[in-house]
Amino acid sequence: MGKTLALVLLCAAACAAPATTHPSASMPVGSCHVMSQPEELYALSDVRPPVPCNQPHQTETYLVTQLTGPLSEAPIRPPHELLVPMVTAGCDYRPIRPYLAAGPHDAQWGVSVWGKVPTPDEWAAGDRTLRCDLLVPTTHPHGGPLLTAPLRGIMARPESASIRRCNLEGRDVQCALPHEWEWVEPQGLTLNRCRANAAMFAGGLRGLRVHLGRDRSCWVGQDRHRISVGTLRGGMTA
Amino acid sequence: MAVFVGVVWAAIMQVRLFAGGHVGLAGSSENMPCQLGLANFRQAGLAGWEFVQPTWTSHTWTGENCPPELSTALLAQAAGKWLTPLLGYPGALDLRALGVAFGLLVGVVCGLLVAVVPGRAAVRAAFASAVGLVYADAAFAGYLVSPHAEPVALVAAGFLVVALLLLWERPTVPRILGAVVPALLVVGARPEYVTFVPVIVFALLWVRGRRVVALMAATWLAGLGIFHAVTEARFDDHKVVFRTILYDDPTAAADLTSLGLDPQLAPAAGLSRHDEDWAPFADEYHFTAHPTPLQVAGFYAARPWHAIRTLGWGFQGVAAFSPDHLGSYPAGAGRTEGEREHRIAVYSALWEVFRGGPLLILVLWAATAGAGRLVVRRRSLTPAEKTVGRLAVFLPLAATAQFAVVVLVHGRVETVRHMAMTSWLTALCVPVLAMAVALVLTRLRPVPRWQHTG
Repeated sequence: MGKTLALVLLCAAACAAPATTHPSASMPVGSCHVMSQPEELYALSDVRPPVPCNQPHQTETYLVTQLTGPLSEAPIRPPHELLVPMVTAGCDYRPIRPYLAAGPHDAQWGVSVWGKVPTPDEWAAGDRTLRCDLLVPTTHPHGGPLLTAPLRGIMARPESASIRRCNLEGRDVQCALPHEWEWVEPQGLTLNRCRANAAMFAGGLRGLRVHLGRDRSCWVGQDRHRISVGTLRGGMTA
Repeated sequence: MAVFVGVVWAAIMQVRLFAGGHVGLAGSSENMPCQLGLANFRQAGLAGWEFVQPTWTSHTWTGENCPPELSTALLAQAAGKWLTPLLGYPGALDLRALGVAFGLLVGVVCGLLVAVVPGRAAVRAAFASAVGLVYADAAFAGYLVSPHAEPVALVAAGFLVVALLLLWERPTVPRILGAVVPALLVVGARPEYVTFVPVIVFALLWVRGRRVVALMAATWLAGLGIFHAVTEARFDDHKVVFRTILYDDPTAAADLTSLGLDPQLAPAAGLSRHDEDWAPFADEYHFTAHPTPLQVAGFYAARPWHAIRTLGWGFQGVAAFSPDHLGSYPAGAGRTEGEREHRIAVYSALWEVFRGGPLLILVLWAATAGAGRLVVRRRSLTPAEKTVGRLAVFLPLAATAQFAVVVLVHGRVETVRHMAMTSWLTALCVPVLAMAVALVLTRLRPVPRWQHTG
């Protein structure tokens, strides 16, 4: 109380007005979230109102569940180091590929999972909602992660190039960046099997070539070592 | 003379901060300006310690992403918001605007010192310039272009020194109030600076006359200082216990028991919370009892070996002087990550002596206080000259109190930065000691009262 009063007095002229918040428990699957600051990404909770997924944002919710186990019964929210294992266990990875609409030859790459739990006040009020978000890597060397399209079903759309694995001169890059080769799932195949998979992946091999890596990973690329941008996935090239 | 010296030092500060590209101090995880609705959009992949990123833009923070934090540094940052567009800098707050303002204020401090310090003009100018060199040193100048709370405290501490010299010379109500304002700015900058409260109270009451007003001012200062420390202080026993007391500790299990913690946590000795090896102990640590600062102080009192070890790390922190883990240059200036500047490094060079023998800091404090006491007791000196003696007593006391609390609450974790105020007070001891010794040596014989000038 005293601290709040002091902060109000000190901040009367300069401090920012309190921001609108959104309860943790009412963030549905498919909602998109702005977390442009590292502090926001690393914070345990997020109560900023979601934004439409066609507006710039950083994460998208693929799963909403409940925290369970002995720690979830604590009346006061446990600290960060105890919640992280709970969040890691609670954010099941299995719904991710169906959420992205990934087929057997599609591999998502660079997508990470970030969990959000209720704020200390929401926790004390009994809320145990666990929100699991997906974060994609940045395509800008000097910028942070940024999305302007929904991740739900993205593997069926050209924007999926930002979460597909490609390779340029031996270095892994997103397919949204200039590259020579694009990865085809699964690995551990013969060259013939790789060719068959690549053909299924790209909808034919006309103008394309196939390469089997030392680790028997399967790659498809444009003929004559041409550098391309975007995915070769069938029906989605620009 | 005072105006000339002030203008020269204001100019020196601007040149050393901005000529040839600006320098400052990287913010690391410092996010205090978020209280003002600001965010520092740093490059992806950078942790924050690598480069100075002066531009803060408007940002809406929600929930616990920007926890409430009360500091007088917010006043300066709010003023910086106002100054930023006036000086043509980008963003809602550019820390370079603060650097311009703080640099000018350093000039004001130097000018005021010339006006209030006793002695011949050349001596006063030399003393003020020696203080100016402390601010301009690579160990402190960077703070003036940084989001940390230190710059407000360091600059306000300069004004406090001026105000105390004036107060001790002739205590009047305006002078008492004039000392309270910078004192509040220092004490309110960080919870650790509550250690200034008893020392400033002592300084306020070390006057002849106006003691009632001084006592009232001291009471207000003490109340506000303690309130600030109680509401803002967050004691992290993890870094005090696991990263300091238990660091390389052969009796970790027994020491944990003494502190009221589970001895089974002994294998976690020395581990950071961010260390992967800490994870198996996190649960046990959460549910165990946590010692208070008083219990930790009691532990040190009962085990001198631990106290000596921790004090040693503290002295090493003061001797290191400069927060070398935080970069000085902005990104894109062609400098490597975390590279430090050394544009002016007179005190940094002098500190080589202390890096060789950190305990010499204790000798400097004792010598300064001792010389100050001699000056205060020397009958042949004028009241104005004796103010230097009082300052020579005040500085080591303030440094010792600040040193003690930093050692107690931060242990050996990021000691150099937490010791910034201790280091600044210690650096100030050098010119004050020189002046006190000069006064003692030049007035060995009593001077008749009618010959006094002050």
